[in-house]
Amino acid sequence: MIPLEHYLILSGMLFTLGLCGVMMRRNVILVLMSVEIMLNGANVALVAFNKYIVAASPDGVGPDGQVFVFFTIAVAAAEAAVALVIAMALFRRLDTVNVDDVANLRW
Amino acid sequence: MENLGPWLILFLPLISAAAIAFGLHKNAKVSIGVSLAAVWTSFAIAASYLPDVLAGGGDFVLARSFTWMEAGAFAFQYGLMIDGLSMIMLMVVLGVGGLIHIYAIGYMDGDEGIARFFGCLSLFIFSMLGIVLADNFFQVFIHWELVGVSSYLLIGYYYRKPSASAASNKAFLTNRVGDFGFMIGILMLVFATGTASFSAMGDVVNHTDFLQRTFFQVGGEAGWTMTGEHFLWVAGALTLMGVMGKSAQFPLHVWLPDAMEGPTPVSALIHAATMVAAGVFLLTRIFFIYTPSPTAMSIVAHLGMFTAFFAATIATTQFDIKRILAFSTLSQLGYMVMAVGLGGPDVAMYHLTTHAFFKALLFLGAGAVIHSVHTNDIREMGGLFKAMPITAWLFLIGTLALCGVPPLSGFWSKDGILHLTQHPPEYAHNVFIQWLPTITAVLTSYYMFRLMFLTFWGKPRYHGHPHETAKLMWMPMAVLCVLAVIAGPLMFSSGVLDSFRTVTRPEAIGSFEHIHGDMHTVIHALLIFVVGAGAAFLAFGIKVIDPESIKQLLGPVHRLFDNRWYVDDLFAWIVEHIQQNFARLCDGFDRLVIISGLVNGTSWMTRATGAVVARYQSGSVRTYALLFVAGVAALLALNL
Repeated sequence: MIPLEHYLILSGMLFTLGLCGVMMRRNVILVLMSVEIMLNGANVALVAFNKYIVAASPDGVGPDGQVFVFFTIAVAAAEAAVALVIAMALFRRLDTVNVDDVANLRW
Repeated sequence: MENLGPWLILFLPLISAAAIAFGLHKNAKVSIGVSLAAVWTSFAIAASYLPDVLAGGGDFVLARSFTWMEAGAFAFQYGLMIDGLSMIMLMVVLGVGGLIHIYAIGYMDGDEGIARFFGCLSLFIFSMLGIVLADNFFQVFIHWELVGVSSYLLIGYYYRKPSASAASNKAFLTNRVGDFGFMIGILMLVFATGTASFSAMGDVVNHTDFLQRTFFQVGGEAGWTMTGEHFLWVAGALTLMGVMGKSAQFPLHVWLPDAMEGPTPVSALIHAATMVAAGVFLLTRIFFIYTPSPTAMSIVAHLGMFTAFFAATIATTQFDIKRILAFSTLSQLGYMVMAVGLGGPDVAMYHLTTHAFFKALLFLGAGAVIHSVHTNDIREMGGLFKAMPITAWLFLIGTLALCGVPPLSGFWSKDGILHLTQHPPEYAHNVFIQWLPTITAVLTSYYMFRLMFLTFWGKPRYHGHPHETAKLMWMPMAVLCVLAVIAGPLMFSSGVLDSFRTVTRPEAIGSFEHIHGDMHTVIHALLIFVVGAGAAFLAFGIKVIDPESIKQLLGPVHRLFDNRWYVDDLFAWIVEHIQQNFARLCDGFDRLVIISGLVNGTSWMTRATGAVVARYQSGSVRTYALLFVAGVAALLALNL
């Protein structure tokens, strides 16, 4: 069986990759994609924990991490729909997909 | 009728006041009629209970009440109680009040605000009846304040006159000072006994372990313990403050002489017969609070004794006819309060009743004189006996009754009080209690005959042509005069006195009979009268003694009396130097600390913080993400 640490390292890498993308990318579509990667990094960790905790408990039941993951996927789908609409509206109004150009909500 | 009667007594005057306020005031005649009808109908209903009260020998109690509001376990009752004590007070308030209503028709004739005047009179009668009929402390307090308001309206009746509106303010504010203590006293008593009703409270207080009960301790078991007895006398002393305000006892008496700015019928009604009697009535009603504590009784007795003497000395130097009577009222109220303190609330009520008759008579007489010569100053009167003989005779009889000349009513009640001073063993060696009341009685005869001689005897010093007073005005005076003559013996022979003794001091029933044919008492009273009136006769009647030389002789003492013992000046000084400076201090604190420091400081802080924090609102989403990650990392680092 693959040890838990491997899953967690993969999860951490995915999350960090997404985070770097969010902070560094200027294209709004790529920022959204990075957010999805971060979510999936977290999902990997949830599924891995679920597998190991259920295996370790005597009666074979435990916190159902897989259910969390389904919720996350559903919410992420809704969030992606809203975010893409915002990105489209942004492009139509300001003719840009660069987040640095959209900085007029400031003091 | 049986059920409605007591409520009608109380609420008829209120209905009349409301009717006048909301419509009838446009028609003066109708207003007067409604007001008169209300007070005399109330009187008739009240009088219909008199035979029952007398037949019951004081055991008769008619009580009606309903629950006004409930707060948890505590229900606030609004109720009425007619017993021997409230019966006699009802007779005084409604009888004397009714006569004064009639007199006022003549006195206020032609005044443009006459409807307002009668409306206020009705309101006052309602307020006063509420105190008389109340069966619990909260109700007394409500009506206590209502009396304050209606007397404010009546004293300030001539509101265009600055001195009158100042006097009404003074009366109201002085009463508020007293009422502050009164309210705390009431709350203490209600807290300690768990009830506001007089009868229930009396039962609790008379219960044997109440006095030993521990209320709180200072310094543990070994320290000082506040027992029920201490608690009672503190509450009693605070309640006494309310009495000091309403019954104008030293040092809260200052409003009463100034209140003479009101129309004379008001002075007669409020400041002789009813409002100022409320305090004495209340003391009698709650006598059970004072009896367990000798300290409280002693406070009451000394307060009354001092006020009696103090006011009498001032009355000897005044020249305003109504002010002399006002100080005389203070002095007589002092007698009543002292009587309560000496353990004779029944005697106090007796004196209250006779005093209400003759003092109202004297005030109405003074009103007739003022109406006729258009001045209050007795130096500008003189020789009025010929001009207004009926008034003069009535006034003379009132004066004799006040001086306690046998067999007029004042003799019986005042002698009762003087007899009381000799009675309690703990005061046997107290020279003040032993002698000052007698000296006060001598002073009373002196200042009243000084007033008589200066007003009615001698050469005329008035301007114009004084005329005999109108029939509408002297008829009520004549009725009061008859009462002032016969009320003394009438009250104990008819059993009225005994009927309220049952409520106040049952052991004294029948004790007045000793005065019959007791030559010692009669000679004592006559001696007091002759010394006082004789001195006035020598100085102002045949003028063998020059009053000026006496003034010179007395020097500073005369100045003390003439300046009313500087009490008003002391209050003015306190207000000007202490209260004003304290107010300035508060004002400065408010401006510097509260407004500049806290209020403006808060807004400055908000703006300054905003100016700094606003820089971080750059609008760049990537910066926000970076800061967010940094924040989460910092939190994680702290937790790990």
